[in-house]
Amino acid sequence: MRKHIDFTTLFDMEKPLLEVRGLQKLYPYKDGKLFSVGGRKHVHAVDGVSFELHEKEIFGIIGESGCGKSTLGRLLIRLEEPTKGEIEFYGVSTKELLATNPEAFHCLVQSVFQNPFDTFTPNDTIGAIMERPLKLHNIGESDEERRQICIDALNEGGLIPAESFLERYPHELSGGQLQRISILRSMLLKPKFLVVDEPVSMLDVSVRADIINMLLKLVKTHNTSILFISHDISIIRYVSTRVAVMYLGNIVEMGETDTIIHKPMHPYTQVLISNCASIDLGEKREPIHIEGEPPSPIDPKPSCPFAGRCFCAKDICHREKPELRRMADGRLVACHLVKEEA
Amino acid sequence: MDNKMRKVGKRLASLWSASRQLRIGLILFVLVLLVAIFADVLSPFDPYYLGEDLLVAPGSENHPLGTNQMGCDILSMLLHGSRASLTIGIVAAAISGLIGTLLGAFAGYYGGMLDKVVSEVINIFLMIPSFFLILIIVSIFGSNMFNVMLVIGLTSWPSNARMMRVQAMSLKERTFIKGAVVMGESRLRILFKYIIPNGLFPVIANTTMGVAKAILTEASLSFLGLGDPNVVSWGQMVFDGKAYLQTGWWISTLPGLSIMLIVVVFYMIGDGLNYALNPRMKKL
Repeated sequence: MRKHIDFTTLFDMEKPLLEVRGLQKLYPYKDGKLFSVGGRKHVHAVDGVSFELHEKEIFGIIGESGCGKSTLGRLLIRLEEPTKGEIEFYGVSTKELLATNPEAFHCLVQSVFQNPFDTFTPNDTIGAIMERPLKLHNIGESDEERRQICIDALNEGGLIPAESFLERYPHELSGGQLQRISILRSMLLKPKFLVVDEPVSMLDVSVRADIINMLLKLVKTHNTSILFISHDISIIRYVSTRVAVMYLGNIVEMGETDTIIHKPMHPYTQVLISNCASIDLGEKREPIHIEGEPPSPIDPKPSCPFAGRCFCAKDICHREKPELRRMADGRLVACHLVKEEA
Repeated sequence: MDNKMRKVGKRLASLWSASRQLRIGLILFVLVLLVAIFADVLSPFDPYYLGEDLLVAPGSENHPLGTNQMGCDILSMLLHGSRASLTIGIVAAAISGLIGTLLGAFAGYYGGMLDKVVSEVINIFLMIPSFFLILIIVSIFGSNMFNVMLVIGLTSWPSNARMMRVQAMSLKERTFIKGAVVMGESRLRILFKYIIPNGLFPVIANTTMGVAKAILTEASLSFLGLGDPNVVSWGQMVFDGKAYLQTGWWISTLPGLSIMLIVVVFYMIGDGLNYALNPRMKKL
């Protein structure tokens, strides 16, 4: 049986699993005019994002819709080409990796999508769908062996009896079952890094916890790291050790999940967390109300992206874009007004 | 594998029960097909045999549907003529379906320059009156059956291509295609394994209607005297009989009715398929 790709020969395992530097994704914007003044306009979907991710870490990304968190996820799995910036796995850039050894890249990086009802081709049985990645990457010697791998995986994921699922078609299963299969299939290749984009937002509340727990158990046994994208702060708080808050294509605050949720420093994070409903009735929090919508991501001005809506904005916020600065407790905050520096 | 066969059977059964139009169309199509296959057995005369009785009216003892000005038996000609019409219709539509599907899928999925070129070619084909193009080509390259089929197929693919292109463009944004990319499927595999099978249904329905259009085009060509003179076809019969409309109305009218029947049959199948293959009908 051909084994899964041995990453140690390909990569420098001393380097961090994932390192992202100055990642930027611009989409050309057509304003409908034949001749637009001042050159082409661009939508800044992801505007200079940098972070690191280590092995076995679950890194959460939160932010409201349109802040670029899904685009960031698609850039990392290379569904889209970044405009600028570097994505490196163990010190090897994805561009180079895709050119020289695309198979290794696909074994290293996998993803789980938001919509389980659309994740599988409607014409194939679950068995064919699950055996496909194994076949593509030559894992398992015969069809029987691959089938057995799939059966084991389904059993592990609590889809019992596994044999009956293999014969069924995607439209015969429920959203929860499909999302389990989606997660199981992604993990069949034993990836080192998994991008999980809103995995339970389309599912019934009653099955969310089960699926999250199954995912957590799986990644723990396979030592996989996750980039977990969600707008649901309570899920992020439950799963992730570190979290980044995104606003208009920028990371505005990043650090340990607990410290950020208990004591948010960036005004935007404060607003976000104060508006998050809590089951704990004893917890008294006054929600901060802000006005307006996020500003247009089309060629943003050099100012703090949040300045227009911020409840404590000063002059400098409208003039200069703040850089991420390290605080005493290790977190990074991009705000002119936060003073407690390391 | 056995299981797969059963699923396909089940799917076909659900198609069958989905639309009455489709059922009637298919039954009639099978009848016409049987007639075409067993034309030699069924016809009382050789369609090329020039008999003694000229311009016999329908209802006579030897010739139930009469004879033409040359003494050929109309019934035998009709039975044999179904072969030409069916062959030309089906082969031409198949050519157009194949070219349309491939070009449309490539253009829609790959996008960029290829898409621009294919779209412009489609637009050009849709703009020029294709019947005159067919007329010119047939009159230059000669009017045998093979040329007629090829020319009809080569000029009628743009509607299929346009349909497939739109399907490919919408399918490539779907999650299961993104998932296949992340899984490491190659672009060609994605095209042939995921895009085409999932986007083919409207093209199938359109191609079936294309059979009817191709039969009509062939009939029109024959009527204008550009059909294959060595083959009995319904269009050719209408052409031959037009001089005798006053003395022998049956020579043109009967093949004309046959053309109408076969065109209606294929429209029924096409329209029925369109309805039955609709995703909302896909209950299984």
